[in-house]
Amino acid sequence: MLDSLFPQFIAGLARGMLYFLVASGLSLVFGVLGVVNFAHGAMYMLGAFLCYSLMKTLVILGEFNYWATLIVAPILVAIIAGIIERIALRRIYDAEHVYHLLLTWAFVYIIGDLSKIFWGTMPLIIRKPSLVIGSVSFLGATIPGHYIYIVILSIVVGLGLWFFLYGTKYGNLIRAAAEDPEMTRALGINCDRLYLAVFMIGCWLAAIGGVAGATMLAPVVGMDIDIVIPAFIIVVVGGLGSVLGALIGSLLIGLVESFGVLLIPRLSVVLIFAVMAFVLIIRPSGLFGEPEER
Amino acid sequence: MLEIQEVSKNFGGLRALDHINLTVQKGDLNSIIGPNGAGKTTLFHVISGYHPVDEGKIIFGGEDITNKPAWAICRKGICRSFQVIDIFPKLSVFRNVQIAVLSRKRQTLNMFASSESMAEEEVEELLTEVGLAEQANDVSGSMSQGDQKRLEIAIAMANRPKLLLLDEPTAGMSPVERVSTVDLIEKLTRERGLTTLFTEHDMDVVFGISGRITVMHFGKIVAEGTPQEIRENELVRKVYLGEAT
Amino acid sequence: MALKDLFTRASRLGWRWYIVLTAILVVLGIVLPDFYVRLITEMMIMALFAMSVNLLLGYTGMVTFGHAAYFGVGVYSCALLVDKLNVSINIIFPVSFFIAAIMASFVGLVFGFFAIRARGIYFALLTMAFGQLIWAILYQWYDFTGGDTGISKIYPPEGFLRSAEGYYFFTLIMVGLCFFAIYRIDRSPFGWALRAIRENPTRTEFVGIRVKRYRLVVFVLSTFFAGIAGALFVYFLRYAHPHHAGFMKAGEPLLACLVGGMFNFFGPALGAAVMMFLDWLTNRFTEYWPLVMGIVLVLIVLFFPMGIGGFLSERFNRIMGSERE
Repeated sequence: MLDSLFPQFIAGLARGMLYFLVASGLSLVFGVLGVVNFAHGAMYMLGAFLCYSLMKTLVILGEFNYWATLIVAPILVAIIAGIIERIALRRIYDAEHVYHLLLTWAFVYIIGDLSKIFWGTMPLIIRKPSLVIGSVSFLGATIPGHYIYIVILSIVVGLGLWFFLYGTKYGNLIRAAAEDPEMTRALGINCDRLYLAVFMIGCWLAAIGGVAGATMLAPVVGMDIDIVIPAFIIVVVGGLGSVLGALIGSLLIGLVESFGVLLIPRLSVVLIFAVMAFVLIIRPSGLFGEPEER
Repeated sequence: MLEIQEVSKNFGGLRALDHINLTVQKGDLNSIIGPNGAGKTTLFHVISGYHPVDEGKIIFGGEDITNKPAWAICRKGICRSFQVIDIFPKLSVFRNVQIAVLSRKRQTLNMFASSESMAEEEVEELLTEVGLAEQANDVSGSMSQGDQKRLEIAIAMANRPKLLLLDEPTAGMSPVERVSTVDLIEKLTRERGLTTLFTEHDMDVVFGISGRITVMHFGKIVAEGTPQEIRENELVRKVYLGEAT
Repeated sequence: MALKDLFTRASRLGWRWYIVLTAILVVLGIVLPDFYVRLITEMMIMALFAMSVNLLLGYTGMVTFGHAAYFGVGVYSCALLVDKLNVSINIIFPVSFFIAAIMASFVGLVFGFFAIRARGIYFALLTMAFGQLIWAILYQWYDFTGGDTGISKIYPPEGFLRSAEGYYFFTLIMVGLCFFAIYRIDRSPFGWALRAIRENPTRTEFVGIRVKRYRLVVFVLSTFFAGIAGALFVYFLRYAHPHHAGFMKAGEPLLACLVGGMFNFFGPALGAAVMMFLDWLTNRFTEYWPLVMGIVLVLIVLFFPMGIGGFLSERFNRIMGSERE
């Protein structure tokens, strides 16, 4: 049993970091816009589907097509997100939470069915780039290349995000808007465009997760819901609005899921709910979250 | 009746209440004054159970009510109105008060009776008392601020409190309304044998009806006494005049 | 202005509406062909499900995303009893309704106890997570629940109940009784306490109401009715599947409440009927009902947030928060 612990740990780590890509965007969007985006998983899914389609289109690039897709697909998803924000989301920022939830839920249905129309209902196969194929032997375990890729990519993205939020002027603006929207508006900052930007960034992050995850999981309709539930649990556990919380939460959930499969294979799903329930009881706003006034 | 002993409350780095000691006797009509941020509302929050204290005790009628939940404190007989209007905006005036009355009567877990006209008389009586009888069926959120403040008082009264805490009851009112509200407070305290504690900014109101006045500044009590004593108090003058410039 | 007068007079009917509606439904049950009878049966069941959710949503202001779980518990309580026990259906049938309601309420009590600790968004997410938990258990516990295969052959007792008409009238009675109970709650002091909690939970605390406890009570009540709806559903469909406790199912009552109007008594029922009608209509042309549903939902949220019921109320009554609320 002991020698399967390390591979499970690595698997959990990889899952966790993949979750982080998705959950960080979700947390960011909530922190700044105050909206819980149910369609966040759908953005992840779109990332994966667009990865498939773009790779087919960019066949001329040969081996390089995956990497080109990693750049392009999330941008496309960000654009789609921007459109959604402009036509629908921005009208309801001031409405009660119910409406946010229901509106984004509606987009889950819409994007889900549109995906079915474009890409069918069967899982799609993506050819992994050669860099990612193969495995590495480490501490007696065989670690698949895509795990390493996902971990490295998410660390890079995570660091980039951190630098952006804490080291750039625009990032500071975003954090200010998250903490005190009224003040930020009073200072003359165009919150409108800020919100648009944050929403697009959040969905962009999810889409990166989708493209990265495509090397591990075959894109298929329904993967949006499969990821959105753990993503919500992570964001709740880590605290809505906290990117650090999203990181800790992601690793925690990733590892719990991984080891859970080892310990109680059939009802492993129960474990992450147990973690969430437990955290919420001792810290009702999550580990790093802001308590909600309502 | 109410004893506040060495109560302190911090919000992060801010000391909102600093070793407050205050006693209120039954039947008193006292006021607490002080500049904005002095801690008056925080004191009310702490007495009524909205916030827990960090230090100290609050004793009501001989019973320690420190840190008890708001609903329990209300049931023990302390009711309050809020500085920032806090009513049920989409419900009618009648319903606003009715819910408080029904709560007092412990009827609110009743799922079977029709509440259409439960406690109608009592609600109407209260509304008449505060002068809102005609607006009983109006949507409370659409009334004037002054009216809403009076509704607040009615809601607080509905629970038949022994101690009434009114946080800036005349804020936002015209001078005429102010006078009638003040009269109302005095009348209610007298007729119903209440004990009332209120915070205010308007000096005329304060000196007009208070039995005793407590002055707060930066979370501390700087002076306490009869209106005459307070008027002549050097420190108070500095606090107020100093702040005014 | 004749239409306005009509509506105003109509809304003054109050409880008499009940009788009018029931009469109409009885007549329809006798007159319509089987296909439509079944459609309306399903509408009634979904209306009950939507009403159960609205106890939380419209009255108390609690958004619950996982109510399909309790519906599913109702479904599977009956399905498992029929499937596993070798007792005559004539006995199991009535008993299963009790068990379904009790089981759903029990699960509601357990989950509710934890969910109540969270407020606002966290509550919504927690309820969703709990919903998924039940779904996962039903899906993965293959040996007991049959997982993805589901459980089939759940028939009501032989005779009148097995016919479309028979089951229709049975559902009408059951749903009617439940609606009556919910109506009593609506008019009761408890109902007003819920509304107060929705409007201003802090203030409600300050008039002496223990908000947490009330939230738990209404939560359990709503799961009770959801369980009954589930039981009615499984004997109607004659088939149980984890899908019935899933994500997509959880959205349906919410949509119904939104479309029909959260703040009117019959709103959720109206919404359920409209949604089912649209579902049936859409399915004649395309299989992409979720797409249509999503678009409808977006339009409603953006342009008619009060729902059909609310819209009509506001246009013709201009009374909100009064007795009619």
